[in-house]
Amino acid sequence: MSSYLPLFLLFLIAAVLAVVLFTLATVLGPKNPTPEKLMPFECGGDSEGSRFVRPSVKFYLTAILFVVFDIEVVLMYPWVVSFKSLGWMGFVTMASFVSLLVVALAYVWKKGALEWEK
Amino acid sequence: MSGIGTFDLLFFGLTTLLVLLGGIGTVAAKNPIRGAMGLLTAIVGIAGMYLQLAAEFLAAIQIIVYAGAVVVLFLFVIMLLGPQATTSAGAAGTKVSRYFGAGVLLVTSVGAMSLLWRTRTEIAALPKLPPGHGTIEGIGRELFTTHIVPFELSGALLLVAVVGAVAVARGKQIDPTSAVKVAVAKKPTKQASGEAEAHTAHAKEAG
Repeated sequence: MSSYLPLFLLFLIAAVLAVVLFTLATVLGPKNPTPEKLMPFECGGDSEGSRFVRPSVKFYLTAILFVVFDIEVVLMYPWVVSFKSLGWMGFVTMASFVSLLVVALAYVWKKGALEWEK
Repeated sequence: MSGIGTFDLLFFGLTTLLVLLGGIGTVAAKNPIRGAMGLLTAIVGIAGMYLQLAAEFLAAIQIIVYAGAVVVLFLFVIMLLGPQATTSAGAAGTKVSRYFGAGVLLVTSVGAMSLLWRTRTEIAALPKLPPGHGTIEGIGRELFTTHIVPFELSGALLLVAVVGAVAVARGKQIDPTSAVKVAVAKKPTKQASGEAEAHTAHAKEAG
């Protein structure tokens, strides 16, 4: 547990640094707002329409597929570390697991979910 | 409680604070993006708790999968819904379900506390963990010797998740007008026309 002290200190320093920098910027920064400055900037012209543009659902699909294959890779991690002591049994187990996900990959590929334009 | 040092106590306090503040931020934030950031804070705190419970692999997974991927997924959902999306605060039944949820939480919390109090002597006498428990080697040994079936089942679950994600996301994308146009413009083979019909039916359902 205490071997993670450096990691803990890293998190602590990062958090303190972020808070200190933002506080300093808020406290020390000069503030002189004018109506022109407060206007939303859009290449010099007056801005039109809503700020919100709905992103494509493709981003969501890509993100979900990323999560699934991320979990696959994370489960490979303990297998790799104890690969030698597990022997062939471990290899066969992981091979069948990966073959299941190869089916998933083939399905995704066939459906064209990996292609952006379709 | 003699084995707990000052650093451990401090660390536990800090992670508890992170989890509590993050949880409150998640439910209290008006802006859903801030809510997601609160969730991120709570997740990092939970990772710290796992670390303190000697579940090092779980802590790493908590950071990689939950903080790295799941929160990003939530952010995508929030962006897809847009700023017009609001909670159904005024809807009928919301108040009832809220109080019901709070009541369930209260009862389970009190139950857990009383269980903890009644078993405090047994908890103090728990055996020490074997060395290597919770590390990546330990998890690997356990996962690939005694827990092979759940591991393989998780592979099947991931496969189902992929199929479900593709079915949901690609089903919604079909523009009803384009499906009809394709059906009309192309001199369709039997299979293609069947597909187009299915798409049109789906689009009608969705719209």
